[in-house]
Amino acid sequence: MKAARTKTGSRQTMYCLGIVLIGTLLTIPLQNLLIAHLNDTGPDPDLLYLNSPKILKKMALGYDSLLADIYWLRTIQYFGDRKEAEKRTVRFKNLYTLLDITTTLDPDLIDAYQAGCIFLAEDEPVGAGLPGEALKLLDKGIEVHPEEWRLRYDKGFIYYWFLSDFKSAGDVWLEVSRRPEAPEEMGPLAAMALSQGGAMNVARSLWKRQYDESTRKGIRENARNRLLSLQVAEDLWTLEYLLGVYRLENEKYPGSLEALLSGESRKVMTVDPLGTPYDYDPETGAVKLNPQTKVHYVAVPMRYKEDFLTTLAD
Amino acid sequence: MTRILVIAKNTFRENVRDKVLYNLILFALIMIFTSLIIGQLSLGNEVKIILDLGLASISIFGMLIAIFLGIGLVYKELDKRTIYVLLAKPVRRHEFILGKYLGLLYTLLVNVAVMTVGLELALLYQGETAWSVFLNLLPAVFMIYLSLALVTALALLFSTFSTPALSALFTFFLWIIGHFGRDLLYFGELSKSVFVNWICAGIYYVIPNLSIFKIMGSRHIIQSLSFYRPMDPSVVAAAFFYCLLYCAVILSLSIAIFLRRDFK
Repeated sequence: MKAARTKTGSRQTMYCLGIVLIGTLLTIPLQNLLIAHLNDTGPDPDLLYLNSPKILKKMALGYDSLLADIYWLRTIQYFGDRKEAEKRTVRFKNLYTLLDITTTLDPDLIDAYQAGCIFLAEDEPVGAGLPGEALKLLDKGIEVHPEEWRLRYDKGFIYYWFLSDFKSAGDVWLEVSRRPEAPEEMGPLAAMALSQGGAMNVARSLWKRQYDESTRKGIRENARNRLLSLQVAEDLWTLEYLLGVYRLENEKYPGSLEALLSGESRKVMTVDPLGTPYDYDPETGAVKLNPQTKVHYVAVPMRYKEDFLTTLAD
Repeated sequence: MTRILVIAKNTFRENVRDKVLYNLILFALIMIFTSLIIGQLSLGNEVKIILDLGLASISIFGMLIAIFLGIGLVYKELDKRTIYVLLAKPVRRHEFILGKYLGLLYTLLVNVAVMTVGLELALLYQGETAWSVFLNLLPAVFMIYLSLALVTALALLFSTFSTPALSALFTFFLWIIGHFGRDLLYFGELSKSVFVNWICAGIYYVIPNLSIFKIMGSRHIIQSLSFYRPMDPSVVAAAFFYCLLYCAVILSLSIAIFLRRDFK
């Protein structure tokens, strides 16, 4: 009797374990199905329920600094997650609001002004394409920290690069150069902006400065891409110019870029800065970046081309 | 005085035996060490995140310890009827209240010290070696401790005449209202009625202003960077005297209520 009961008991245990095993295995496709459904919910409305910095400051109950950290991390995720950004109808609609909340909760978070203005000012799809909002954010920072020259430097940078307002950039940098804590190169930079607005050498020195001085990986990466793009643009414009001269003299384009160039320039200018040869069509004389290139090319504004070609012709 | 200290010592022992205490400390330490991971997402603001999360953990979990232990200080003695044994001995009622309060303050001191060591270890692990950061952390923790002393006094006050559940609610809501004092005053100023203005001003001065203890965030601790405003010691001193005065008032009220209680 007892043996029969034990046998029934162990059979029941086996049934239970079988149900556990089968049930667990069945949940896997079910879960995948649900996740796939959840990921396919259409465009993200990108709602920010609490968007008033003043109300959030009240609700922080004194933990303003901690809440600022949370909003700063959220801003980084909002800006950095490219997949999520693609799902939104407007990529970075709430970027300024998030930065405004972060800097209201902790006005001393200088990184939020500095990185935030680049996030805002960069053209789409890299950034939000809102240089006006970037200036607004920097002005807010300058009001709280009038002694912080780096914020004024960034303001000049936004004027110079993203708004092509060389005079305003020069004026801001000139103001920075008068401050005792500002580095010495601010004066020459202001002079260059005021006298040679749109020059490649000024653009290069600005991005070089960002690359050398930023401690943030994303900003350094962006500055590196910009520097490489400037080099590519210079190479392509030079090649276009030389090909034009060659055609005038020979009434046809050369068979290869090597035939066009001689000496050291042959080694340097036929390949992009990361070593991939440029694409050249001898029929049309068109020269462009190779699709296999490792350079993440960011378009250089055409106004720089005019300035560059004038210098080259001289 | 000796009798007060004996009661304080026993209260501390009693608190140490409480499991809630260990759970809260453990949770606070986990929060502090979690900040090491969260800080990595912050684009170069790791130390700030660790400090903010660490100080907030000390403050929030300290507040929970103060409330959960404070509300039961008197009620437990009444519920277990040990108060009869105590008061039958040559112990005065005010000595009982003061002893209980000091015992809990000592418990909080030990807890805050443990959590502060945890926070400093997290900073060390992050690679922060500037002495200024470690030294400046102490006034910030001191300010948190002052706010905890005030919350403890409030919890004890409610514990003298109410049940633990209600005491916890009252203390918690006062803690929240304590952060909105200035708004109350502003609301009164906006009102056209002189009566409303007076009422608001009255409530503003009666309710503890807890926002004054939150002035020491990470910005005051990391002073190595030029843009952080330097700490003002006179503010810390003023906060200390405010806390001392307020606690004296609340404890006097607690004693007054406790003296009038009939234990028959």
